[in-house]
This record gives sequence, structure tokens and C-alpha cells, in this order.
Amino acid sequence: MNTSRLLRINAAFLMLMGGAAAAADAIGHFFAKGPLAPVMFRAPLAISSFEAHLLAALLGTVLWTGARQPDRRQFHILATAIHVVLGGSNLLFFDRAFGALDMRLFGVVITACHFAFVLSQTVAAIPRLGAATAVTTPLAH
Amino acid sequence: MLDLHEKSTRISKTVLRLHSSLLIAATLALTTASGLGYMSGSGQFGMLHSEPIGYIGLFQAYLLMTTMGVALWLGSTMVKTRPWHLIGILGHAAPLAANFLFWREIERYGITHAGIAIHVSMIALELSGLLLSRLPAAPEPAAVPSRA
Repeated sequence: MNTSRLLRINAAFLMLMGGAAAAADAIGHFFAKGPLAPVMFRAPLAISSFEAHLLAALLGTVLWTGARQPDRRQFHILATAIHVVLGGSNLLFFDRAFGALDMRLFGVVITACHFAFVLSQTVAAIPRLGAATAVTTPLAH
Repeated sequence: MLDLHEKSTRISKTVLRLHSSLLIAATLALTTASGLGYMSGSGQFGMLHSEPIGYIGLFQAYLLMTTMGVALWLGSTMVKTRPWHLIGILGHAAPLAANFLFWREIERYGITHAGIAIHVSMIALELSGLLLSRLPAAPEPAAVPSRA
């Protein structure tokens, strides 16, 4: 797959899921509705979850910008870092977060998505041997 | 001597690096402090001990802001810095908006004004960088006809 397309898919995932989760946080907190309402309704620190999801969506826009750059290696590294943070914290607090909401299956799927992105973005960030050879060959003449 | 465009580009990059360094240092310190508060139940973040969901959100938000700091540093190495100033502004606009939205909830912790002051000052810093990054490059000097 084209690495630009990989970054775009990654960006779309972050914007969509981050934006939807931020909306679910706010709706759950203020109106006691939606999937996150059981833990978010009137929770004094619901702001932290709302902020985190909004930042994930924002970092999605950064990756979308990066997909248009000719040199995308640093953006692949950035994407890896984002998913290590998100997937890592899901793993670290799995039962507290997904268990409390009885959303373990969703938690497994979303955490697997984060680590799939970690893997694919790491592979995309590694400079290809073939590409390096193609660049160095003309200098040999 | 540096022309105006070159000077403004240099300041724009410095603004991004300054913001990035502050973000990385502050968020790493806050991640540590909130983690200690969550585990021990004492200190500035002691309330997190009884608010595990709040702590998980903070943990993610702080580390994502660290990542944002790294992204801004990355942006300072690029030719066009303008989009990165916008990202720096949006990065603070998100928590600032959350501050106002959840005003009543966070008022009890007495952090509303401090939060606003920090986010507004960082937005102002990035706005100055954004304005500087818009300065056009000096036009090429017109060719002087030779007398020879």
C-alpha cells in the first residue's frame, strides 16, 4: 500500500473515532445518554476524557497534513507514537475503562486497531533498502 | 545581513521550538505528578485516586500533548511553518474549549483560571509565530543594466 494512503486511513480513523468518542463523552456527561453515560454522567473529571479524544482527532488532522508531504517518514514515526500512547493506555487500564462500561469486546477490537497501526506505521517508517539503493546507484557513475 | 523574511522565518521556527519544549517538559511533569496522585491519593492530584476514569483520560491527554510537542518540533524543521502554528493553536483550543464546557465541574478544583491563562498565552505565542510566517519573501533585486 502507498504510505500516503496508510497515513490518510490512519488520520481518518483518529478523526472519526476521536471525534465520535469526544461527542459521546459530552453527551454522556451532560445528558446521561449514549454508550459512555454510565461512567461520564456528572463525573467531575469527564473533561479529561473529552480532551484526550479531542486531541486524538486533532492529531488525525496532523497526519492528514503529513500525508501530502513528499517526505513522510517522520509522520509515520509520529503516528506510531500516537498509537503507542492510545493503545498502551487501553492495555494499561483495560478493566477500569472497558470493564466498567461492559464494553470489553469493543475494547479488544479498538486496542487491536491501535497496535495494527503501530505495526504498519513502524514498517512504513523503516527506510526501504531498495529505495536507498535506487538513490545511491547514480552516484556510482 | 538577514532580510526580513529570513528573520521572521527564524523567529517562527524558534516560536515552534519554544512551545514544543514547554509542552514536552510540562506534560511529562504533569503525567508523573498525576500518576503519583492516582497511586497515593495525596498531593495536588490526590483526587484522582477516587476518580480512575478521570485519571485514564488525563494520562492519555497529557501524553497526547507530549506527542503534539514532538510534532511541533518536527514542524520547526520544515520549510513551511504556517500549518504547524495552526496546529499549535488548535492543540490549545481543544482543552480551552473543554475548560469552558466543563467549567462547573472543574471549578471545584480551582484550576479554571490557571488553565485559561496557560492555554491563552500559548495561543498568543503561536499567533505571533503564525503572523511572522505569513511575511512574504523579499523580491529578487532587479537586474541593473551594465554600462559596458
